[in-house]
Amino acid sequence: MISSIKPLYFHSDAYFLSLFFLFSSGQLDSIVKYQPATKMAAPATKTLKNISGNWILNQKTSDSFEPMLVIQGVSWWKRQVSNH
Amino acid sequence: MTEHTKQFVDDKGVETILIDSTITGGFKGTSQCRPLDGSVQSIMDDTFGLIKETNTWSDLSDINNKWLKEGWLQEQDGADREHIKVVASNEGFGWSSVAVWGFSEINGQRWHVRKVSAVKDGKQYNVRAVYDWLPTEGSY
Repeated sequence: MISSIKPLYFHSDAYFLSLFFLFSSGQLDSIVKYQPATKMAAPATKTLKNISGNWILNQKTSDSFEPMLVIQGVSWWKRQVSNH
Repeated sequence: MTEHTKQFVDDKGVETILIDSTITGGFKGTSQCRPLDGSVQSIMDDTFGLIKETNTWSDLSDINNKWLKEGWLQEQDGADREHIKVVASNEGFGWSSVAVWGFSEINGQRWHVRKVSAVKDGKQYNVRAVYDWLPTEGSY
């Protein structure tokens, strides 16, 4: 099978075997496994004196922006984006 | 929508908050620059069109709206730096808004909160936005 020319490597058993090896041995974990962001309440050190860092809207505890964005003339498409 | 926030003093000595938003998946969204000196900014915003905006420190004494004044945590850093007030308006669409930033206690924990009150045609629209702190971002 492998005796044929190079471009056929992607169709070869060796290719699938090496993929299987990489996945099963955990070599690709750092590429494939997504580490979700940690979300938490504001630490005591975060005040308006230095708010630097990353923040994300908490959809559960926040009110809906929808009625306000409508009267502010924001288009339907933009309103969908603001939900993500 | 994740907000990457930087607070710093710019080369003119003005304290400034810079916010780059990214949409889920890492796409770059809007950028906001907020100098906290009370100067009037004319901004052509992708989402809100042509708006006028001022950003200042506030101790809530300059705010008349009862809903905006209530529900805040007393901070350690003194009243003058407890809140940021953002006044914005869009003449074309005929709305104006006042927002107050600060921290509130929700379910026994301290959260970053921005309360916005917008008015159009005499009708008031209130939104309380609560923000999660992200010590680490999502990664592959």
